[in-house]
Amino acid sequence: MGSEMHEDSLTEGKGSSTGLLRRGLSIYYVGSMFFVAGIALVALGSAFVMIFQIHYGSEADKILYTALFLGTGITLILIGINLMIKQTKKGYYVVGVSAFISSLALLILATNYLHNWYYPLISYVLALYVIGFLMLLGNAFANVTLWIIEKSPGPMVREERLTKTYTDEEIQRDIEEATRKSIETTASGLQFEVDDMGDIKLGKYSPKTCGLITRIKDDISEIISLKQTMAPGATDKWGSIGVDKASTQLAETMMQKKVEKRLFEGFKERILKRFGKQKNN
Amino acid sequence: MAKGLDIGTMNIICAEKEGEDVVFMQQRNAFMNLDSSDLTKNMLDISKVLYIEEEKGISLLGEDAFKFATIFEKEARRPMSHGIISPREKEAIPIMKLIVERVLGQPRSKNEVLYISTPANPVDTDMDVLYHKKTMEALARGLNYDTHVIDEGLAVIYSELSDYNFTGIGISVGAGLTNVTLAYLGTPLMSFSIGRGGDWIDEQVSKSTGLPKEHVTHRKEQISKLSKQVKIGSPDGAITIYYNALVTYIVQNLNKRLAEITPPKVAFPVVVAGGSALPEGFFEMFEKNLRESKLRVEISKIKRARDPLYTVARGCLIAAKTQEEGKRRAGPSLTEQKVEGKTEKKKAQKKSK
Ligand SMILES: Nc1ncnc2c1ncn2[C@@H]1O[C@H](COP(=O)(O)OP(=O)(O)OP(=O)(O)O)[C@@H](O)[C@H]1O
Ligand SMILES: [Mg+2]
Repeated sequence: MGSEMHEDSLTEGKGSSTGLLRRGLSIYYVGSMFFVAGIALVALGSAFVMIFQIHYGSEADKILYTALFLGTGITLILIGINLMIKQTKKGYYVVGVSAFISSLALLILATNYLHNWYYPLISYVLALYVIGFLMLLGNAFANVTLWIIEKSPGPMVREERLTKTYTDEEIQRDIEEATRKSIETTASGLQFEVDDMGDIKLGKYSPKTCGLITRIKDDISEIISLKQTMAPGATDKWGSIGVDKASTQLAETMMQKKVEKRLFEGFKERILKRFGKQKNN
Repeated sequence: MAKGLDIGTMNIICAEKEGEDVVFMQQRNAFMNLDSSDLTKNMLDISKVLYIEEEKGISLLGEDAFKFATIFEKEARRPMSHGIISPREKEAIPIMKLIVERVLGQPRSKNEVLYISTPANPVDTDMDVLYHKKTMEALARGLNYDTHVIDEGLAVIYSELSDYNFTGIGISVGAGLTNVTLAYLGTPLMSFSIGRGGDWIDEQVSKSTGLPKEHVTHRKEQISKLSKQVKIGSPDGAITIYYNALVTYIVQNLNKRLAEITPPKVAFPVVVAGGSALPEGFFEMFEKNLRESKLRVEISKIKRARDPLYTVARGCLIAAKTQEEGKRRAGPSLTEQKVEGKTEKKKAQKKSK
């Protein structure tokens, strides 16, 4: 049997058609550290929310710490995820920029909270943070999608077919098959002539036909109906009626098969057309 | 009117409709050479025997060759062996032509449709059926029939599996070969033959018991039942043993070939026909073996053909009749049906998915 020689271009390859970079194990671990730290911070923030029972009129520094923990935690989680999945080159830039934006937002919050925490600034900081958040989230999503596309069986199957190795036996069989086909097609055009036998001299007795004759009659209808009541469905008609019935059924089956084939073929054609168009675009 | 013709190693059988009956005309596919003398010729003429006069002598044909073989203490010969006429035995062609002519008769209408059966290529011997197929086709065409050829196994399916939409496995255990076809909705997906049949049993039994082959054949055809209890000294035990071996061999080969295709996921009925399926106990033996071996397809029902010797001829008749009706209505033509090898396999694969 043919063996697969397909290598996993995702972990070993230097890069791939979709541009995903090979990601070292260390980056993965750094990413997971970020992720765990983020989770811890978010947990801490949440704990603050519950312990201090944060509400609009809570003490200012309690609100600030809670907000900082949660904000930093979420950002760290997202950075961690981004580092754990495979990225394109652009992806890493995006992670850097959006991490910077988020941190900036948090920094402004930390330095300006309470003294300078009024209308326009609040919305700027919030907007900045949301932008960073969305960029990290979007980047992770985009790269995961890319990875899935690359992993999808489409290109892999093609690769497999190209590198499939055939055993001698299979090759031999294919050759034999091809030879047989070519003989058959040539031979189907060929017609043997049988008139080169000269004249055959027969003895005095030469009947037109001769042989052992067997007649098969169908049961007369009464017997058939009796039989059927005893064993329903068992129409054992082997004579003329049976032959007629079988040939009608055969014609029907062939007809049905032909129609099915035509339907199937039409369906296939339509799909191929569509698929072909898509490919061309 | 349409006709079906089964050209076998041992028997040539024609089937046709005659009113309410189906009539089978059967003749042994055999001949015997005799030295030519006025005395023998006279004798043969008186006993109304069909013979050919040649330079070398005279040849008796068909059933008569057998009858007179014992009288003249000679051996009846066969134009065909292992299901086909070999290119080396050109001298046998005129003999087969005569037998076919006598069995088939003249066409009753212009371009009467005729289907003849042919073996499929064997899996276990290096033999090509093409020469045989073409020769037989030419013989029948020479008689002005609109001649078509189908596999013997498919003919079995046409005859016996009409209630199963012509889906199933048809097996004909003949003299020279065993033919197998798997069809789906009347279309063969796989056809092959196995180089063993009744003759093989005769040979093996003859070898192991020391009895002459003709004697074994005769004894085999008279045997009342294939059973494990046999009389000491009779060849019946050996016959049962080799029948069993034949059945195992057929089932093994069937399973091997099934591994090479991907048939649709349906349960297939199986029919056994052919002269070697005649003895009582054979069918039970076959059924048991088939059920016990883990076949690669699901088997629904195992059926014995109603009249095993005539099944193939009848299947050919049904094909011919269908073709003739189709010609009248310009409907489907059966001749388009051929095992298409790989493409068909792929289609079957697609279907099964
Ligand atoms: N009553 C019987 N019991 C056992 N075997 C029989 C009986 N009658 C015939 N046979 C065997 O059946 C075989 C002939 O069957 P059949 O006519 O189906 O073969 P064929 O079509 O001539 O051969 P093939 O299909 O292999 O070319 C012979 O081997 C013969 O000995
Ligand atoms: Mg046969």
